Order: sequence, then C-alpha cells, then structure tokens
Amino acid sequence: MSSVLYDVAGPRAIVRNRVLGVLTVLLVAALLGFVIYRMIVMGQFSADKWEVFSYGAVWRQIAEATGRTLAAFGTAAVLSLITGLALGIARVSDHRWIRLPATAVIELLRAIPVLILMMLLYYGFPEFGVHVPSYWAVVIALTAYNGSVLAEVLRTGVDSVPRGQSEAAYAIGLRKIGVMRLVVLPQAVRAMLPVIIAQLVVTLKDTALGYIITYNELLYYARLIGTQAQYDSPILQAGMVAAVIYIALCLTLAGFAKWVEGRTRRSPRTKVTPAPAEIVDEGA
Amino acid sequence: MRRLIAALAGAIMLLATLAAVPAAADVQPLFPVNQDVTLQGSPTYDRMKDRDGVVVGVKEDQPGLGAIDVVTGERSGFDVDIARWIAASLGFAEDQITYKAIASANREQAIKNGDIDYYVGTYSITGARKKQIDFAGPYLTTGQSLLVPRGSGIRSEKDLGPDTKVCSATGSAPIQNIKKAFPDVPTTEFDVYSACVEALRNGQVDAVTTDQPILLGYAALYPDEMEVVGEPFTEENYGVGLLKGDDALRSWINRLFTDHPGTWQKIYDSNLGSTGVTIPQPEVDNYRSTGESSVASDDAGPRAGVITDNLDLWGEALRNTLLLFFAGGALAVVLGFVVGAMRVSPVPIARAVGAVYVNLIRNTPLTVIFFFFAFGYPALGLPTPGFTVLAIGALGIYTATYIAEVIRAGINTVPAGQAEAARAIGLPFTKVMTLVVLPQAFRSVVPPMMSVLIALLKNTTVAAGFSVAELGVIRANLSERGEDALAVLLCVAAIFVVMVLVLSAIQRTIENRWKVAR
Repeated sequence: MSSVLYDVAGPRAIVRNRVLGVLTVLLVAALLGFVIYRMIVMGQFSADKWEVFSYGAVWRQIAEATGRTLAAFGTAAVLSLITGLALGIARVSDHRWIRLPATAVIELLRAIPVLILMMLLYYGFPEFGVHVPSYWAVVIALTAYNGSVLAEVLRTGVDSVPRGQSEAAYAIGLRKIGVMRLVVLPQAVRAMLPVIIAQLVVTLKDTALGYIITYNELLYYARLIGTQAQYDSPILQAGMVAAVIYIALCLTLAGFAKWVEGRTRRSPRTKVTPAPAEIVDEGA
Repeated sequence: MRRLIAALAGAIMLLATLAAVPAAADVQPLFPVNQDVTLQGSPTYDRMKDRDGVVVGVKEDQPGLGAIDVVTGERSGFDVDIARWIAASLGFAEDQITYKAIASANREQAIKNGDIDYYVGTYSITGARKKQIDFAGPYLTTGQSLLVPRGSGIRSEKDLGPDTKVCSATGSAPIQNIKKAFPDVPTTEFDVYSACVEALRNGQVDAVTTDQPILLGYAALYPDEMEVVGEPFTEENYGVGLLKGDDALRSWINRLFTDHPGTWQKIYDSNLGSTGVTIPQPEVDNYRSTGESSVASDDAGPRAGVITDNLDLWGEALRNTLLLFFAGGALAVVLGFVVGAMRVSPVPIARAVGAVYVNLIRNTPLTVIFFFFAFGYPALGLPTPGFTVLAIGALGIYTATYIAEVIRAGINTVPAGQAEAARAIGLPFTKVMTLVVLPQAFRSVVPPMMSVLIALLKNTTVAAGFSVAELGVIRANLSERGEDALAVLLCVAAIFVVMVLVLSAIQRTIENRWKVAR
C-alpha cells in the first residue's frame, strides 16, 4: 500500500535514499555499538559471566521454567477461549437481562490491569480465607482479561457476518440456536481466527507478569540465576537467554496467526473478509 | 536381665553413633539429628510428624545467609543452617526437609496459610508482624552497616561525605536512613543488592549499605576484595517466623538457641566467619504471645481509612502512575511517529529497521523489557538516572511499537487515489505526506491511538515489579502499615476503572466529532 505514497525513484532520489539508508544504518550501528562497547568494558562477555550456562543442570531448569510458562499459557488460553465464547454469546444475546450484565462484566474486566487482577487473587483473596496459588492467580487473571477481550472480538466477528446469512437461515426454518451454531458463529470465528490467535500471543506475553507475583516461570528463574553471586551475578546474561526464549515462542505463535490468516483469506468457505491479525492489541 | 539387655543395646547404639561420627565428619556435622523428641501441644509439630517432613521457608538469593546454587541445587547460608538445626532438633534429617523460597512480601501470608512450618530468612522482628505471626529468637541482632572495598578510606558511616557514593536497594529502609542522616551523601539505588555489589566491584559506588549480615554474606564471597566496616548504626533483630499461638514450638526453638551457644557459634563461623567480623549470639526474647492472629478478624470489610489514613502514600502512588503515563506516552508518541514514518518511507533500509524493531519489541513481554531496564542497564555501568526514568524508557519503547503500527494502519486507510492525485500534481514524498495523507490519516489514527494509551495506562502497573512507587506497588507499602490487602487492591482497581472510563469517554467524543467532520 505504501508504494502509492511515492514515485519510482529517479537518479537523484536513488542517491538521496542511499544516503538516508546509510545514515540509518550508521545511527543504528552507533547505538548498538555503544551498548556492546559498554558491555565489553564492563566485562559482560567474560567467560565468568556466562559460566553458569555451561551446566546441563541449569539448562534443564530453564527448560522446566519454560514449561511452567507454557503450562500457565496453555491453561489460560483454553479457559479464555471458553470464557470468551460464553461471554461473547451473552454479549450478542437478544435478551437485555443477559446482554447488559455481560457487557458490564466485559467492560469491567478490560478496564482493570491484568497485574492488579493477579495481585487481587494472590494477595487479596487470602484476606477472606481463599488461598490462591500463584499458578492459578496467573491463570485466572489471564482468563478473565483475555476472555473478555475475546468476547469483544467474537462480537465484532458476529457483527461482520452479513445480515442476509442469518435471514436466509431463519427463512429455511432454523431456530435461533441453529442460526447461531450452524451459520453465524462458524463464519464469525473463521473471520476472527487471526485476531484470536494474535490475542493468544498477548496471553503468552502476559504470563511474564507472573514473575511479579512470584510464580516461578521463566523470567523468575532468570532473576534467580542473575542473583547467583558465586557465578558472578549474570543477570544481564540470564535476561538475554529468557528474552530469546520468549521472543522465539511469541514469533512462532504470531507466525502461526499469519499463516492462518493467509489460509482463511484463500478459503472459498468464508464469506466474510478475515480481519488482519495486526490490529487488535492490548495488554502488556 | 531385661535391664541388662537395654543397657547393652544402649551401649551398642552409643558406640554406633560414635563410630558414625568420624565418617560424618567429612560433611561437617554441625549438629546431630535428635532421635528422641517429645513436643506436646504444638500444632505445627503435629503437622510435621503427620507428613514425616518439614517445610521450611527460606531465601534463595542472599549469599551467605540463604542461597541456592542453581548448578548443584545445594542450599547454604547462615539462615539455612539455622533452619536445618531447628529441623534436626525436632528429629528431621536433611532428606526430610523441603525448602520453599518465599518472597519477602509474602512471608506472613505463607506462615498463616500453613504453606510452611517456619521461616528463617533475614526476617526482622517488628510489632506489625507480631500481630500476625509469632517470632522465636532473635537468633541474630544486627543493624545497618557498610560494605566497602578492602583498604578504602571509609571506616564507618562517619566517613561518608559528598564524594562517597552509597548504594542500596530501591526505596528500602537503609537508603532512607542514609538520605535522612546524611543528606549531602550521593546515593544510587538498584532493585537488588547484587547489582549494588557489582557496582561496588566496578568502582561505580564507594559503599553499599544494608543490614550487616547481608553485607557479610557478600563479603564472605569476595573476602580479598571487600570488607564490612563500622558498628551497626540501627538495630534489627532476626527471628524465626512461626504460626501465631504455637507457643510450644516457640519455646522449643528458644530453648534450643539458649542451650547450645556452641552450635550457634559453629554455624556462624562456618558461614560468615571468613569476614573477620564477629557478632555475639543475642539473648532470646521469650515474650508472652497474644494468642490468635488478629488481622482481618477484628474489622471485616474495607474501611474508608484505607485511603484517608494513608493519603501521603496514595498521593505519591497516583502522582507516579500519572507521571509514568504522561512521560511514557509522550516518549511513545514521538518515537512511534519516527518509526511509523520509517515503515512507510521510500528508503528500504529504514523500512527494514522499522519492521525489525516493531516485530522484535512487540513479541517481547513488557515485563522482560522492564527487566532489562531495571537489571540490565546498571550492568552497562552508565550513570543511573533513577528507576522512574528507566521505567518511562521501558514503557515508551514498548508502546512506541503500537503507536507506529496505528500510524501505519491509519495511513493505509487513506484512499490510494488521494496519494496518487497528490503525486500527479508533482508533490514530492514529504509534501504528499504532510499536506495530503497525514491530515486525513490523523482522524482514523486518533481513536486507536487512544486505545493504545489506555493500554499504556494499565501497563504502568508493571513498574510495580521493579520498585517504582506507583499504584501497583502500594499494596506492599500499605501492608507494612497493617492495612488489608484486599481493600487496598479493590481501591486500586476502582481507580483504574475510573481512569480508563474517563479516557474511553474522551475517545468516544473525539471519534464522534471527527466522524461528523469527515
């Protein structure tokens, strides 16, 4: 799309673009170079700082910590899909007494920061005797937030199905439940699939908030490695390892969303234009 | 005859124990495991017996006191050995002990919930804590002290001056004490003590201050490089955290400490002895317990006092949240515009750089970005601007990617014919953008931009994990004052709901006005 914004470059424009390109590269290289230079000066690349990563036991524990991250993500993803479906259907209900409370719940849960929800569950609930383990605090908070976001996504999807579809379904004698189940929802979900997967990337990223309420996931373990004074406190190094793992996981999921988007766009079974995976986003 | 057999059996067992001693000497038997325990009336001990094991709360990131070696999985330190000693006195060997790392903020909760049987880990005895749990001990009396490089000119806190930089944990009591007592001493604050110790080793700061044993733990790691100097200039008493009302176990532990000063000394010497600093074993305080835990039962439900009694903290928290929001938002919008412009520019390299930046940062959890700003930046050894500034940087860099994408999407909503027409009349790229495309894109950019800013407002809470005193962290501060965590968090949630509703209302107003104008 952006190609309409400028003409095909002529000789002068080519020179100018090259100069700008070189300047950009120089600027980025200077910034990265400075950071790397400081790291060399501070001995961040010394063998001592990385020694802890030469032990199999450490990598095994990193794998276990990643497993705990994925466990929280997996449970929260499944539960928020279920919650999102339930809340989303309630949100488009014809009955006011279902629709209004559902709308209120969705709006409320979307307005409270996920971290505050986690803290409420983890620190607040024990005040009246309900002890929530950190794993469940992470899972429930992520489910509540992402479930309500997915409900809104689903509503957008239902709205985007052309009216003729449900009218035709009614005309052949389907009841309300049949219209929803057989005609509207399949198309809405298909159209919104890329967005739904993109929201799951947000869920995956937000599991890292569990670090703050001491759920011992990947980032928590990275900090523990970083405070190991007998291995020269490699906190920057541990952070880098954790970041690489997180980015790899998220990019995999995001790539999957793109792939699904491409497939849905080509599928002849979709009457609705699928929403691009990029647009929707909230959360940390 | 029976008595003779019993005596013989006893003698054999005694011999067996004696014979076992030299073999066990390799693994330093600081204390024997008690084989014959009678402890009546302790619910905690009954629980231990039922499960045939002890669950001990410890720290795992405090060298010399409570630390775990991630490679060997071995726990060590003065506090851990005290915990082992108590377990041994109750008849539990090392393989029957389960260790649980409990964060400082959750200690009372873990004891009240029964997650752990007792807690040993730099746990200061305070009146507020005594209302919720009981303390055996103290087993260590200490206070704030200074860690300096060996042979430095600083011999006590009196040598601190305008040219000696002091480091401690962000917002901690020790750093507050220094600021109050020595206002002209420059201070540096990092989120963890290990970062301060690193800064000391690199020569960025001249002294690290906190409780003496914590400093001793680091000094024991680098005995040739640094030393702890000066007499403690505050007083802290470390105790063993126990379930409220378990007086039987409390007296048992107190008796253990009182009756075996030799064992205490051995534990001290083997963990902290190499520092050359000696601390005498304190007298235990066998106070009269007030019985059942007295929090949350006397006044049920949130009180107005949660806010009105603590206006100072709420004011500071709200101010910092808004500061993070506005400063982070400003940085994000500026950076987002630059990156957004790069992503649609005719320069291929700029487009690529923009794409890499956006895709990399958007697929990194915000908490990880904060982690780098809080823990990674100090490792570069640059001047420290304070953590609020770093948090603004983290929020800005993260949110800028969303702003950039919103701008790019907004530009794409302008019909292609507009840009083509502008180019047809001979306008260059900058003029196509500033005169034709951007003014039209602006309208479709603002509503989603508001959504990004609402997300930013909620994301400011992540700074709570990295010691900025904003709304997310107020729970910890208020629970020190004995407030009910649930009430505090409900208030915080309500404040966010109100702020988000206000921003949403602004968003709707703008959207409606510009929809008409189009």
